[in-house]
Amino acid sequence: MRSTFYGMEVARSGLYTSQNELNVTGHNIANVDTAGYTRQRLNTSALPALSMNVQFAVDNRATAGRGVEAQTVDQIRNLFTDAKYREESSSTSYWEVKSDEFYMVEQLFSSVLEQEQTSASIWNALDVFKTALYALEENPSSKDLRTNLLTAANQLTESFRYVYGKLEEQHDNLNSAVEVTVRQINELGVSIANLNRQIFGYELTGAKANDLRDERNLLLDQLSELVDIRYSEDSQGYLTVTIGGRELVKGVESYQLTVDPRGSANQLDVLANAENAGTQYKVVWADAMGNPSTSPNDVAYIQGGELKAYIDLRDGATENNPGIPYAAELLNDLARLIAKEVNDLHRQGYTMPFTEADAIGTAANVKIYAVDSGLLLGDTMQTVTAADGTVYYESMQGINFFDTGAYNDYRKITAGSFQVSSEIKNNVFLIAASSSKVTISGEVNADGSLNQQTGNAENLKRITALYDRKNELGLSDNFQDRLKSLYTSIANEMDEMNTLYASQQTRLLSISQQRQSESSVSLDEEMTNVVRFTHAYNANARVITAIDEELDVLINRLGRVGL
Amino acid sequence: MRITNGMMVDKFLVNMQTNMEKMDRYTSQLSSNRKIVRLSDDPVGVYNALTARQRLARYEQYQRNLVTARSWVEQCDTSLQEVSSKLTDVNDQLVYAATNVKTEGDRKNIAALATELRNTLMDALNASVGGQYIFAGYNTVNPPLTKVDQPDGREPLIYYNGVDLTDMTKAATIEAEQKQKFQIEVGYGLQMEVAITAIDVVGVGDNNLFKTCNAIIELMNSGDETAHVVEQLSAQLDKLSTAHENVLSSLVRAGAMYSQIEILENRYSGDIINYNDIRSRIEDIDSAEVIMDWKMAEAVYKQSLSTGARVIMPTLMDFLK
Repeated sequence: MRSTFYGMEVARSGLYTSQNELNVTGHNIANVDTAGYTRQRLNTSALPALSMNVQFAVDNRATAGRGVEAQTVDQIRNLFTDAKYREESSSTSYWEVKSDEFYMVEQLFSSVLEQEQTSASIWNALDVFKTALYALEENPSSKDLRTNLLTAANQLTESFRYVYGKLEEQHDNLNSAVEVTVRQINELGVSIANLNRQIFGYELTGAKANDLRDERNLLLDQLSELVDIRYSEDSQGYLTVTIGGRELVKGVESYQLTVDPRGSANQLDVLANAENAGTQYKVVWADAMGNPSTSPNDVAYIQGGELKAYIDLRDGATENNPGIPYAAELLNDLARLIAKEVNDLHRQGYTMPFTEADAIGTAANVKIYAVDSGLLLGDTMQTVTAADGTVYYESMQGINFFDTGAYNDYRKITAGSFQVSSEIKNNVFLIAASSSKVTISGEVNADGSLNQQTGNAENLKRITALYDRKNELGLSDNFQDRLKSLYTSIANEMDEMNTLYASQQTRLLSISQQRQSESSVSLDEEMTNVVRFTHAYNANARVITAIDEELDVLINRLGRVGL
Repeated sequence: MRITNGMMVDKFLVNMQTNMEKMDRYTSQLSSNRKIVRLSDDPVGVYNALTARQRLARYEQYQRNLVTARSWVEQCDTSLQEVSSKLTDVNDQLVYAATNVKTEGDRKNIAALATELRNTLMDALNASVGGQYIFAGYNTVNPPLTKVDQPDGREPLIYYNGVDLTDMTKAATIEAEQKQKFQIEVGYGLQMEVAITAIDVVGVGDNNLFKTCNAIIELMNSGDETAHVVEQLSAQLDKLSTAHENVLSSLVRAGAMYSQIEILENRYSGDIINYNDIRSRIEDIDSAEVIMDWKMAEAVYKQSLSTGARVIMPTLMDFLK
């Protein structure tokens, strides 16, 4: 026999459950725009009629169940899609940062696309230098035209230095960004550890900490953008997050990544074969005191995300891994080529004689190099006295047009140190135009004539011929061709980055749509649910009313005959 | 697949972004008048555009060089014309006077003619262009021909760049001087001589024009008997004709230089137009085409906006009572 008020209890359970369902739906609707929110559902199950664990016998065969019981409030989330999303998110962020930052490098070289002669590009500067050389060929002894050539050469070196300076700036910015990103990663790690603790505490009661888990998932999403992570949840609900095999978060503990400011050599300096290379940040795990560990086991192994993008751009020096050093080295190579080729030819030529009045203070600081080997010979200039007593410094070979630096080593020249030699800067008469010694008025020439060779521009012609040079295969291979090749390399790298970023974005969107399809709140659906649950509530209330009327009959009218 | 409002909004935003990027690109092209706005827009196009510019710059440089070449050659031509007409003039007069060398006065006239010829020659061949002496080989800051006085009342000698052209012991020096041709690059690998050294014009050794002049002058001042004088004079006059032929052949050379300059000038102006065209086709936009593309992109954009608006607005609540 079952109890009289059995039906009431059944309907009451329905009432409570419908109310609960409505509350969950209300929670979903309230959070429709919350970032990272996963829709929730009330898990209910029907209660069977009382079974064997009772003290007295009950007839089960014709008894309805005891109603409905709410089990848990569950999130609808697919862990596999989550993992895929985070993987793609790392890649997407990587290419996003790479293409955004390399854009800056591309912009530095884009001034070549302007068609005006006043464009500040290296291309234009090479053209102007060539024009100045030709102009001087027509009147090699003219001081004005020599000054014009010096101006053009200064413009050329300045254009190199400008771009290199901007690249150095960008390099420093990227270095700072590495440090900032590492700090962000640490903060996220600490927050995740906190949430681990909170979720564990909450779930001790057996409930699911849905909203806290949402928060933790959101942090994981953010972290996966910054760096490539692996994660797994253990049976107690603790999430372990690893980067490159080392734990960032384990249980309620979080570990720190940090940067060692003297950890690695400044890549730009390394390429410049500098004597004293500067340093840049190296990402390592912190030791117990929070300081950067110097043990080689503690080097952080970063493979993706924004952090890797910043590091790759800061250090990338090859075609497969292009970065700031890659662009810098292309520039450096061109500057070294121009300096060496022009210098080698320039040393073969003869300068013009000049008086102290023409070039005050020059003679004291002139470096003379061997014509073939380029080694420094000395700094003594020969003088000759004219018939009227004026003292001239003689025409000579061995002057370098471009500065070769304190070590006289072309490998140490960078686009940032590319300069016209101080000799030429101080005295344009040291530009070596002639292929034979230029004598002074009245001085007998080597061949016995009084020919001063002032119109001899044969050496300049050798230099302008560099602009027409062909390589062994008979293909054009001059400075401008190398520069074209530089521009094309930069353009191709940028294009590739853009393409990869675009395709990653498409993939990320499709995975994001899959995730949202599972987990996001659809207002239409929730509204339908509101209607449904309201109906259910109404129906349950109606059942109670019906049972109440039954009981009314039972209590007030059963057994009263005829009244 | 279950679709939510959020998903539709996301997709709509992404597509709208793509459309805006397209519009932005066409707008950049239109406002900058460049087909290639960024290097990465078209790496191959960048390469081709720069190659076209290289060629163009080369032709423009040759054009500039031709201007200087032309002024040198023109001056050369003018000076040589002067020399030639003076030679003709003097030759005629001498031929006429050759038969009349009896009197002192006659002889003085002839000597004066020869002196005048010598001086005119010297002046003409000391011509300069823009401050540079064009008949002097590489010795462009000094006049090539200088008068060197001789002892014993002899006629002054004319030295070229300090060398006596009649002195054949200095043959090596003279040859070295003759080799110094002032050249200007007017074509790919094409160095064109734009000057003739005075050596080529006046000759060396016994054929030296100045030697002939001096010989005539000294002959007239010698006081020798008429028959001898006449005989010598006609020998010198022969030398003068030979010298004149020399001058004429120099004139021909100058003429050839001049016509080559004209041919090149015409060719380059044509080439420059062609290469500008090529460069423009690679670098500049076809305004009509870009505006059409822009209009289409704008239409697509507007359409996406209107569709998006219609999709993201209504929900079930608008229909529930």
